[in-house]
Amino acid sequence: MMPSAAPVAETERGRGDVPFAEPAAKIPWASLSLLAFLAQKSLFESRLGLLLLVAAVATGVGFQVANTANLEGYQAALLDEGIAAGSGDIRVRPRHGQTLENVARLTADLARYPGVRAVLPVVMVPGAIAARGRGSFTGSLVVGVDGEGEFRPFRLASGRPLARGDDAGILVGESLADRLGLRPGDAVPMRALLAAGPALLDEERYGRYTLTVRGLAGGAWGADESVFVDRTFLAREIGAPDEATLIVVYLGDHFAARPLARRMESDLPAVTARAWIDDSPFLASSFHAYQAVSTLSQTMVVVAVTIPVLALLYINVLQRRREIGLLCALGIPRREVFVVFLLQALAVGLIGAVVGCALGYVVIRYFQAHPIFAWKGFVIRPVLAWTCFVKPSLVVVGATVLAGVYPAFRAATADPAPVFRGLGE
Amino acid sequence: MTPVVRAEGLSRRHGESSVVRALSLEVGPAESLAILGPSGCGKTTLLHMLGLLDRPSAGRVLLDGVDVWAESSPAQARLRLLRVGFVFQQNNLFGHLSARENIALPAWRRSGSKRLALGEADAWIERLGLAQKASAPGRSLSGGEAQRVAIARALINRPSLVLADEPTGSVDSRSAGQIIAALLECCTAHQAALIVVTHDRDVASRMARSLSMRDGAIAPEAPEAHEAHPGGAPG
Repeated sequence: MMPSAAPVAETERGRGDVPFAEPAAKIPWASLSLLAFLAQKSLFESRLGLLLLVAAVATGVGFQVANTANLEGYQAALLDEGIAAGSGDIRVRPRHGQTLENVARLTADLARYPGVRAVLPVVMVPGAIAARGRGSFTGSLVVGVDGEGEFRPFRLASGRPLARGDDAGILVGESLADRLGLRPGDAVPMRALLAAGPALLDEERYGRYTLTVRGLAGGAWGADESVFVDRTFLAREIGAPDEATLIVVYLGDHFAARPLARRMESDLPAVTARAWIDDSPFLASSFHAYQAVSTLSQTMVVVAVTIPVLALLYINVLQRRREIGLLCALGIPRREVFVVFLLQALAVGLIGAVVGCALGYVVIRYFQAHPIFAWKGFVIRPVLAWTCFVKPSLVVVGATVLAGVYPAFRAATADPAPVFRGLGE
Repeated sequence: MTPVVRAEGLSRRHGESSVVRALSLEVGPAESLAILGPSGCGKTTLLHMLGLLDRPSAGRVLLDGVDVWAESSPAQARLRLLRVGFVFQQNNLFGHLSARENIALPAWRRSGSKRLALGEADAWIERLGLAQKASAPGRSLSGGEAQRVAIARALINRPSLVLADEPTGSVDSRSAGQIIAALLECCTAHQAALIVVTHDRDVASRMARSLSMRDGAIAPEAPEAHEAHPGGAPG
């Protein structure tokens, strides 16, 4: 009969002249420091291999950091141009008829909704302007706004804003001003149709004015082809001082617009309220395109990093078959061999992320100095925010660790016998 | 005396060919055994089966009474860590680790403490006359130095069984003598069973017993057993 199995600690062993620490009663895992030590020593042994791995990860992170910053800048510029300097987050229009009535009260009601930063009544009529000394008029939308506030449906490109009650001033859209050769300070004749419906073509309802250009207005969503006058002046000329064609609502969070618009419609049956994402198909499409490009870019970077990293780590495992065999022979469990090689992937990912962030920072600074798009004050600059570094880094480090799983698995499941047999007999 | 290692009917097939055929042996504490035989006769495969590196196709291995191949993979790793020491022919060491770190690795895994492990490694370095090379990377050591480091690493966890596969195969005869003397001395001091696979009859003659293998089995003309020399090598 064979002797029964005895715990290792109870096995009798001779004592020599060297110190000996008894093994722990249970050794479920080696200390992480041993595994980290093995991973670090093995990883840094092949400088070229490490350099290639870090270069692959750093390139991916650097590219994606700069790309994210540019896309964030594009999104911010897009939303700023289309919403903050455009038609606002929520557009409130009359459900029936041409104009909103009791605008002062309606404006106050809308301002009470949570998240609302500004409420701006707007009066719009068809009109035309001409360069001074020229007889021909160019058709244009005449927009009456309170131009002094922080929020307005255009970007002031040059000159100064309209003061409240300024019934002699006008802001001209940049493109229109370019065609007509207008500059701030010029006097400009303006015609405006002050009626609506059947009375629209009544010649008696034409307003004829000569106004002074106070400034030029920009904006990719129609502002550069429009003219802007003081709302109280235009409303008075129309004869409806407490009416507006449209009320523009500005929010702190652009993405809260849709639910809030629904709530406004539900609360205020006389009006329709549409969020920018539903009311501006071009802006919404552009925003969706940004999201698609961002996701696609991230996916491409993940693939572009994963494939070379997986290949390099796998080659590393193949080159270290004897080391893996030795670890096995020394009694390092397979799961710890797996961890050693996974830690190498993690280290490569972290080092690559740090280098890639530095690379990305340099690229961002370059694109800040040399924007990828600039047109009449509408400039897309990369956003230098920590989120632009953290998200790509986490994604690429995660991809690197995932890429390390298969090589680590192969290392952990390698059969040591053939490696040693090749030299033994 | 209870044998340290006992093989019962061990067989190993690679595809259609039998590498080791129904082989049985046992080795006791502080006993040394040489396994002789021509290349390809199954010596190394036998050693790997005894040391839990290669699973037998049939038969079993009892190490300190434990049927090792019936254990789980983590338990086998623990047995290799604590009860088995290996010395291979060459490329025994991690080339990027120092001699001291190479020796300390199993002790670090056993104790969980780098400090304790390095302390034990230092004692082994002193004992095997490697003080000058303690910090040298494994890849820079000569064949004889590397084998002495490998012996220290194999014995640092006080294993019951030391398996040496052609430990003198890649060193000169003077170093070979020193390596075998060190192996025998250390194994005897720690009551470890020693099994040495070798082509060298001089090496075999210094073991307490020897057996020859041919075609995966013990050859009938196996040399007579030598008496173990008390305290290590017979000189």
